[in-house]
Amino acid sequence: MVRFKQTEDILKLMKNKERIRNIGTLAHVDHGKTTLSDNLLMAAGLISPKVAGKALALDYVEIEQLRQMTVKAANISLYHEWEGKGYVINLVDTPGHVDFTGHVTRSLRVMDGAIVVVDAVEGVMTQTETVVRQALEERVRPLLYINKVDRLIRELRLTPQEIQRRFIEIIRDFNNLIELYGEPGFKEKWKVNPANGTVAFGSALHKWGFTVPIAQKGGFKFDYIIDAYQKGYVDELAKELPLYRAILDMVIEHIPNPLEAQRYRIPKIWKGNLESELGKAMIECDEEGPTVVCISKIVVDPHAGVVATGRIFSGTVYDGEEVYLLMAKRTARIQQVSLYMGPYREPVHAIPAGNIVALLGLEEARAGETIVDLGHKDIAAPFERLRYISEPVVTMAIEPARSQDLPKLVDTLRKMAIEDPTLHVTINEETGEYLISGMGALHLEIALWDLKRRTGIEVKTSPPIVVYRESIKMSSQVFEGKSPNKHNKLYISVEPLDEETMKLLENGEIYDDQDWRERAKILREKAGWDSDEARGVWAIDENKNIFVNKTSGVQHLREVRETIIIGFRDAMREGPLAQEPVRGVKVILHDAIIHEDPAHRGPAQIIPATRRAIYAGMLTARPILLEPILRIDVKVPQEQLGGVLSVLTKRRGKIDQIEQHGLLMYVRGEIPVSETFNLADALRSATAGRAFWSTQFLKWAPVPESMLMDLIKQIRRRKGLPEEVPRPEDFLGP
Amino acid sequence: MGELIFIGMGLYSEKSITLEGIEVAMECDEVYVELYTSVMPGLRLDSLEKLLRRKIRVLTRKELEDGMYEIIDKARKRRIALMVPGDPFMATTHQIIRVEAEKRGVKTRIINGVSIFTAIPGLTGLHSYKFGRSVTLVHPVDGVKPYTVYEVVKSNLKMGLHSIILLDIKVEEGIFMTIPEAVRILQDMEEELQEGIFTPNRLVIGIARAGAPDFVVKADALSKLKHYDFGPPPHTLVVPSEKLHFTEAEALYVLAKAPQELLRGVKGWRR
Ligand SMILES: Nc1nc2c(ncn2[C@@H]2O[C@H](COP(=O)(O)OP(=O)(O)O)[C@@H](O)[C@H]2O)c(=O)[nH]1
Repeated sequence: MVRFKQTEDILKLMKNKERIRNIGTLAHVDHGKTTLSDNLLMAAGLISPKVAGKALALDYVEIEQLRQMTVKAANISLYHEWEGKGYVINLVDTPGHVDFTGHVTRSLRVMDGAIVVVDAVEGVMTQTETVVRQALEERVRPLLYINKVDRLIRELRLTPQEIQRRFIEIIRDFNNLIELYGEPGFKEKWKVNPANGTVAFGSALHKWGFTVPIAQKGGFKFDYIIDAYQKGYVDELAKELPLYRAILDMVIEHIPNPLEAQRYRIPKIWKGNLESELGKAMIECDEEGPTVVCISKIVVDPHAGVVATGRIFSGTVYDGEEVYLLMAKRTARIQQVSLYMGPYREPVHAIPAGNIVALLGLEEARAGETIVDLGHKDIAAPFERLRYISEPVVTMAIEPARSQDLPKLVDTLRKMAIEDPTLHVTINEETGEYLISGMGALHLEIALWDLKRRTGIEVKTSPPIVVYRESIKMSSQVFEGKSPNKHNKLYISVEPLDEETMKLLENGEIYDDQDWRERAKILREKAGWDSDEARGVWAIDENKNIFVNKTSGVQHLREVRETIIIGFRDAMREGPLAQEPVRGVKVILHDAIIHEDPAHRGPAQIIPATRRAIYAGMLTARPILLEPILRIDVKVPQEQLGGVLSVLTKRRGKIDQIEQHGLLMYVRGEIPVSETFNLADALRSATAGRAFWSTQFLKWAPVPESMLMDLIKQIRRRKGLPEEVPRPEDFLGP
Repeated sequence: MGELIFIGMGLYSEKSITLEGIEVAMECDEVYVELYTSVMPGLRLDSLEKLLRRKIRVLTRKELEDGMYEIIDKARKRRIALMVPGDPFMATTHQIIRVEAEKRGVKTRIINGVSIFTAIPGLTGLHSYKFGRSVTLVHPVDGVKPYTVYEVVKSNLKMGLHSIILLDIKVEEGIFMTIPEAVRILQDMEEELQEGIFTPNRLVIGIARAGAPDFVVKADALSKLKHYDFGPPPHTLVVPSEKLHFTEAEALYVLAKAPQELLRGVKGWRR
């Protein structure tokens, strides 16, 4: 039953931190996350009488509408009573697919506990592993919900003993993940145990579920459930053992409230000074402290504009408050503060720390943004430093079937790119073609589905195209880059970044607008840079390249520094081989001659000079293309193993590991993205449809030498470039 | 035999070109004109074409910089004129083109034009031999201020020299820096560096449309100058030496309406 409550009553609860829980659901795709959220929304979702309007009883259409909301709501607030007390449970939206890794982390940041949904038949899968690891990294406590138990009964017809054994196996696998990825001090306490009610079992489809304590209290035995299926009173089960109760009881009892959680989570997830006023206020979840809100999701609403949803870690957010956006580096005024009632926003005047809030008026905010009190803007550290600026690996051209739909299409794509920073929308200036790029073929498929759902527009798309990276294998000599007016010269060499430095870039330990002393220290100590170079880092671009200034005493350099950096970023966005983004290159400025008059060393001069020297350097340093490689996990019956292996090896795949688990074989391997576009069909036909499989981005790897030249030509042709790769001389001039 | 001829067009309109420049341009095989470095307020391309009785090709900055070797190559066989606002060798690219041409055995010729540098002593009455290094003021790039301007004026002042500050013009990008904008940038730098160069009371001369019939010259304290209406670009600033000759002071008072109190310390000047 949906809970009708007055907004004021919920607001009252929100002021009492002990009555708040912030959670989310995590799962391997298809294990039942959406169905579970539906259950929770339908049973415990809050509705204010205002929204419900005249009809208190929702009719079918409204229920359908409500259900659709689970797909797009940034947060759903639930109400549940436990041991006679009312609680507000915020169910924060998590991405449906783990291809978009940054998103998962972002939503994890604002929650304190997670329900990990595991399909009883498939068990713990790759993405289960990934999300549990990510949850532990953010100090989010994972609880286990074993779903689709009905399938064990009806489809596999297992005996109670076999079912129990299956449960034990899944719980063991799950606890192994906690042991493997958990931190000492947490992992001991956080292992799950059915006896104390930290594991729930059930069927989201049939809406029943229980924990061992609930079953014991009610005197239920597992046979009763089997009996219900055999005799056909499953509906009774949903009434006697409703799934939402099992889940929400478990959450309230075992997930900490925000006050408890922030004490140990803030030191882990926030990199600022814990002794500062801000740090202390967050650790204490102090509603009197300075405002700090971490934004987990942006939705562009057709009426309200940008809706930023996030968690208040400290302070009280008021409507009309002026705040500072750390990532956008802007001041903005909050036009409206809302809490969530179920999936709907309800405007209120103020919301205190510990809660999930929706803010209007922050047009520049993006997911991952940290919003702080104006008075603390200079000392506040962000939760995230553009660290997940994503690196798209697949792109496709898109156009509407009817050309008059173009404006609407473009408008919606823009909105989607605001909501999902890993989705890139670009326009090819030459062809006028719109391109969407993302983290995988599936990511784009989901985006297209979403586009269609929002606009109803029919679109035509090109087949997906892999986005490669350009890199180098050797160091180059120093090249002289001349400006077009020939009055400025930059002396630049390039070299590949070493593995250690790449790791530091990948895990965000070093980044662009970091304090240079801190960065130099990390580079010296962890990647063995010499101290001059480490101190000379001028810029780090989003594709993981570093610009180093090694000059000394060059006149006027200070005034063209920013322009040189722009030239560096430009060159890294489109490399010399095929105008694909550059990755893993260190660009070193050794010397420069800068014209003494500012008019003759403007951007139009310095940018090309920088780019030319970099390109010439790269072309002489064994340039290569890198391609995205996916990790692939397949579970398949022994008889079909051969089919899987032959599909993978035919597609340049690599098999890393084959393990036997009961009757199933677990295959773990690697496969280039370019070979995955019709992998689903191939695997289905090779295994008679009996393989479960999933993929995930793994790494960038060099394209085999034998394919390189053809591939470059093919990309250049596609982009309308002359087929021949430019020569170093082309960038040096006479 | 081909030849590459640089023709200065002077300051105001096609009529500012010397007679020699016009005659030579009429006889060339091809005439290019570059208009991106400076604004000649009265120049109209169709009037110029009518005057020369021929088609003219306007080159963008990119076409000239990237295509310079092609132009040089053409000039081996043909007579090519390159017409430039002001004097041809006040812009950087042209000097390079000339040297590159000569290096490749292509003959070059120069027909000078009047430039802002020759116009300023006349407009202001400042002595022409007392000008130090000139410099262009550009807009800050990503927050980095054009400190060079500060350094140049500082060192000129130290040596008792006048400074010409050209205000950035990038016709193709629609940038025409005006005197009020320039004053603001200079004052921002002063606030940061605090070395007493662009103080509110600094005597500065603002010049608009030098060489045009409606030119404006006004000397005043830096902070006052930005409230003065100079009209459309091009604009230029001059920072006079702190050691003015009394004839210079008198000229500034008469020609540029400099306020008396700013000239009071000049030895031998009395009102
Ligand atoms: N038999 C059965 N099917 C379920 C159950 N929960 C979800 N499903 C089905 O599994 C599929 C995937 O569920 P969904 O909730 O969309 O998974 P998600 O990808 O994790 O969000 C859908 O077809 C659901 O109907 C369950 O408890 N039992």
